[in-house]
Amino acid sequence: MTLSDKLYTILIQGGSWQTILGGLWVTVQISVFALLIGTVLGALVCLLRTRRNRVARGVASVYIAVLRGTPVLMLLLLLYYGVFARAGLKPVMVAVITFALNVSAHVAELLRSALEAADRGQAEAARTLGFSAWDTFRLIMLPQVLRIAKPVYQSTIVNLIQWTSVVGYVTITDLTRVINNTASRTMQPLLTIIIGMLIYLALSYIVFGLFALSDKLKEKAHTAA
Amino acid sequence: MKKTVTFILALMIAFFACLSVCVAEDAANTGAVQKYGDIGRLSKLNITEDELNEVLKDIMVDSICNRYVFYDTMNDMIMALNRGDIVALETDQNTVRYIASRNDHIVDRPPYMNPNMLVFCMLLRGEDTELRDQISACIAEMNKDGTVEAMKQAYIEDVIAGKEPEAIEPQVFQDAETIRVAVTGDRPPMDYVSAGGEPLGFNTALIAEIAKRLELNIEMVNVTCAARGIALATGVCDIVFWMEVGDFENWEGADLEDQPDNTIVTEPYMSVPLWWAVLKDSPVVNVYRDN
Repeated sequence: MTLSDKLYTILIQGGSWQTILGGLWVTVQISVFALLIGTVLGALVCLLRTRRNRVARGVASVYIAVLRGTPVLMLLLLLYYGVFARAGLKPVMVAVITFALNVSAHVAELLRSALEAADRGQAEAARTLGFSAWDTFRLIMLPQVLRIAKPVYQSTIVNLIQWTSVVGYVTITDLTRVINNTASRTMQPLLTIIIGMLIYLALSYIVFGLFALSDKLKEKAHTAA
Repeated sequence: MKKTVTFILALMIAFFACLSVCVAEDAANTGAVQKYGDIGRLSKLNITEDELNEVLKDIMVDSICNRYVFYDTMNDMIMALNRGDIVALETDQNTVRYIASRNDHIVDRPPYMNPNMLVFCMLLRGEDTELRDQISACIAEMNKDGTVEAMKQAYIEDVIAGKEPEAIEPQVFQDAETIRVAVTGDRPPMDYVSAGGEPLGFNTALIAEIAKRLELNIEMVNVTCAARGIALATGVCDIVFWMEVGDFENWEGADLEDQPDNTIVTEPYMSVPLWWAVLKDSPVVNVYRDN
């Protein structure tokens, strides 16, 4: 069997490219929804984590410690086969909840460290100049926090996409599962895995590309101004 | 004097010849068989790798392999075979034939020692006795009327020969109960996923036919090999396919060590020898004792 025959069997024959795209779509869906929910939840946890109230701070610290300190696969298995076993939730929903929780812990810590790294002197100056607390946060602190957090957030997204490859454990046919099934059917595990890796790599570079594009657009806007 | 020396020499030769035969026999009896490496197997449902090796430790003395190593997927195991982590991949004969038919560098062989028969059946939760009995009756009927034989040709022999069967579309019955069946997609031609993404294979066709006869709806749930037990126990699926070494004719009352607690077994629907896939250039290919 030549390489082109193998590639044909893996990628084209019987419409397998559609199956691979289907798996990719599931991976993208889980990643996007988990990221959106996780980011909002992470911001709320960060808010609690930076409160003066010791209880709120303690709850947030435990939340972050547990979710960052345990493997996401364990959490997924616990939620799917335990907590939500009889809830009638679809496996994809459970996966979104799991990854959203995991991402939220990472985002909370990421935002907290960005907040600490931001120049507090500027916030104090703004308050002295009569800015409200909200305006000080919105106009002075938030742009700095976003700028500091951006590179790590970008890595969190790429990590999230890669972490989702374990959802096959809870009956979801994502990209990794499709790749495994294809490898079993064609009996070409190495080549199929390389193809799978290339697809994940492309996905990661799309994320990096989007961030680079946003930087360029911002730069252009600044230059125009 | 010359005669005496010749006699003593002859005696000594005879003595050493006897001694070497005894040592060789003793070596065979005590398991001093040349070992070539480990045997790979898909993870069992209940028994762990260590438990299986403990159970088989006396038998393995006479084997050309050291021990069993478990893998969660067939792909992992094929890659382990290719890179030399294991010298033999052990599973049912049909799967081994499928693997050998798709890999030029792999050949199928009977196991080094006399092959055991694997019996295929289904596992259900302990409380589902009614469903189990219905399925068992159906299997008996299908074995009798030749349906199972016809399916073997279409979903095993033809697939190994390279003919892809049509996608299996289970019949839908209004207001009927839906049973969820775990498929791993990892054991062609018994259980795999087609290029179009639909569950295919002998097991899938069999359960679709059973559901049709019992007027039940079925839903295929794609579960990894290692997660089958937990999926059954937690109600994610109602049926998992399972195979165990056993006697097809005398199935009832067999001691099945791999059977998890609180599960029940259906009537077996097929029996296939346990078989090995080995690399074509492996020394194991031509080392056979009992076969």
